[in-house]
Amino acid sequence: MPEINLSILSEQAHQLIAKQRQRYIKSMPDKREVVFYCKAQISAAVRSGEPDLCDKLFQQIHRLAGSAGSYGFEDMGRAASVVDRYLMAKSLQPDDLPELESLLQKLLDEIDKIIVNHG
Amino acid sequence: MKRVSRRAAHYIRDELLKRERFIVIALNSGHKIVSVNRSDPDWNLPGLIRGSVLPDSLVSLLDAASDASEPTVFPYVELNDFFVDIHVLGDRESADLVIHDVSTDHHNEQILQQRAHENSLLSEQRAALNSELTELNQELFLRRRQAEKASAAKSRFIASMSHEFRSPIASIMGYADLLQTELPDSNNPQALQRASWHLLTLVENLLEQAREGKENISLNPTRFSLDRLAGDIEALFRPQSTTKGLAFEVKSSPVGIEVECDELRLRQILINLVSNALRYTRQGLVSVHFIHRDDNLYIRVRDSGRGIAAGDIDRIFEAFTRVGEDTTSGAGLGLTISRQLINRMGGHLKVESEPDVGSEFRVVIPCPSTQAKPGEMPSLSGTVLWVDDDPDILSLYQVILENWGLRVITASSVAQARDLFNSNDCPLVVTDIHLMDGNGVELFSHLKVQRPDIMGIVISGSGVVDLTEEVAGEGIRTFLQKPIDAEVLYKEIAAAFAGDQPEHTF
Repeated sequence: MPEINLSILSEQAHQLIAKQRQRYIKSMPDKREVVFYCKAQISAAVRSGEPDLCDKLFQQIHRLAGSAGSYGFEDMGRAASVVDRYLMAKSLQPDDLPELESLLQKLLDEIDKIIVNHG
Repeated sequence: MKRVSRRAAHYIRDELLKRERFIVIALNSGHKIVSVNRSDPDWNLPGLIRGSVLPDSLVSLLDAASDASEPTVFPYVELNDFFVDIHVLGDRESADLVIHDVSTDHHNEQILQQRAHENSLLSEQRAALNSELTELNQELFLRRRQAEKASAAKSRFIASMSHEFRSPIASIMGYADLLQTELPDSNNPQALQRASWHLLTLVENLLEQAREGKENISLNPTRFSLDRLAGDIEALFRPQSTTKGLAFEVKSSPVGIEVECDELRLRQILINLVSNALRYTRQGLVSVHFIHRDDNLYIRVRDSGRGIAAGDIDRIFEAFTRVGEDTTSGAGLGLTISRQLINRMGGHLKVESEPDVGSEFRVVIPCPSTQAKPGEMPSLSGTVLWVDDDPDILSLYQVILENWGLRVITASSVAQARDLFNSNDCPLVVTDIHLMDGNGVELFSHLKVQRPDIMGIVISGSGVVDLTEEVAGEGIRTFLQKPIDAEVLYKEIAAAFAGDQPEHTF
């Protein structure tokens, strides 16, 4: 996990963090489900202007952007950060949907890699 | 001797006559001296004159030898202060007396006899002494065995007592730790811990004295934080100094250093020195300074107490000795034990004092600083409130911060953070900007109203927060972006607790 530089921690801490990381990996399917569901519903949400669904997506994306790199999944973290900044930068319009869906798909692909390689 | 030549015979005779003294007296039947011949003309015996009658003392010998067919020898006859062998040759009709001077032989023989006697006496005395020595050795052996048994029994007793005392004290300390986690708002568990340390020190003092200062003090070097030790000493003695109306300060330099030596023994020394300083100071100041430099720990305990006369400086280190008016408590062992421990640890202790002015005890103990092992940093001390609505972040950084020795309180919302802040002592708040129910910066501002001295670190998963100078000047030290580098986080937290001024990175 080079992103947060754990070299200064003890062996005991490394072991505890390794357990945390396993729990994080196990939670990936649930996280994926949220992102997948929101991706599937985002079009309707943006067109209908439903704030709740969008907020839930924003929350999940923001969390993934913050936590993925902390657990050593830099690629997923970058994918999530791209979506996070995209969502923060603008008020979504229907014209934004294709690009947003593309970014979300990239994020889903990264989540799938983690599930496949580490799950 | 076999037949020899006449020449050899004459030679032997002449040699004999040179070395020995003879008087040959020829007598007739009437015991009249017919002739007197002397081998040494300077040697004569009274009464031996040609023509005179033989002295009565010699006549009796003639009578005793008169029937002998062979020459008769009368050895060691005392005659006029001489010892002579008298050889009687002949019979009643005529006789020759050969008087041989054996005074020297007699004298030598007497000496030999005396020496033999003396040797015999000495032998008897030696035998008696050997016998006595054997008895003493046996007694010594028995007594040594008894002493060894007693010493072994005492050592077992001390070891047993040491364990008997330490075990319950360690148990008390352990429960105090548990109580601290169960009662995070209470200072009582820490007070219990400090009192336990004090009790342990007193017990160790008594046990050290029971060991009679032998070089069997075992040392157990461990790594520990000098700041934590200084803090414990300060907290332990602050109440007592306050009660006495004394100023009391404890300083440690440099900050954040870990050292390696026997922490228990070092605490023992410090508690003894500081206890003494407080005991003998009625007004003014007691100060304790730790300085670590060049792998040595320099300790100075200074007081404005009654001081020590020059003639008593050495006496204060004698066991059970207190100088001056004996109006104070204590067993009189603290300084004795402290000096023994300091010497055992390879250090030395100096005292400077002036009556009615005060005293200064200076200690130097070899105490290397410890380079952080790969993967470890010096432990920190303090409580951090970490606010983030992502449980994955909370759990991860809680592990990291607790590994550094920090106490971590986690909150996943603004509301929860406020509640926990109100019920805990949290000098440092780390908060994500974006929370479910609010903004981390606003949360911090709200908390700062309650406690102006709190410090803050803001974290976020994206972007740099556009903070105004006003917010930046309200105790928010820095902004960190996720994923947060652990080393950077460590340095920021360490600097916060050390009171270092932040370098704003906004």
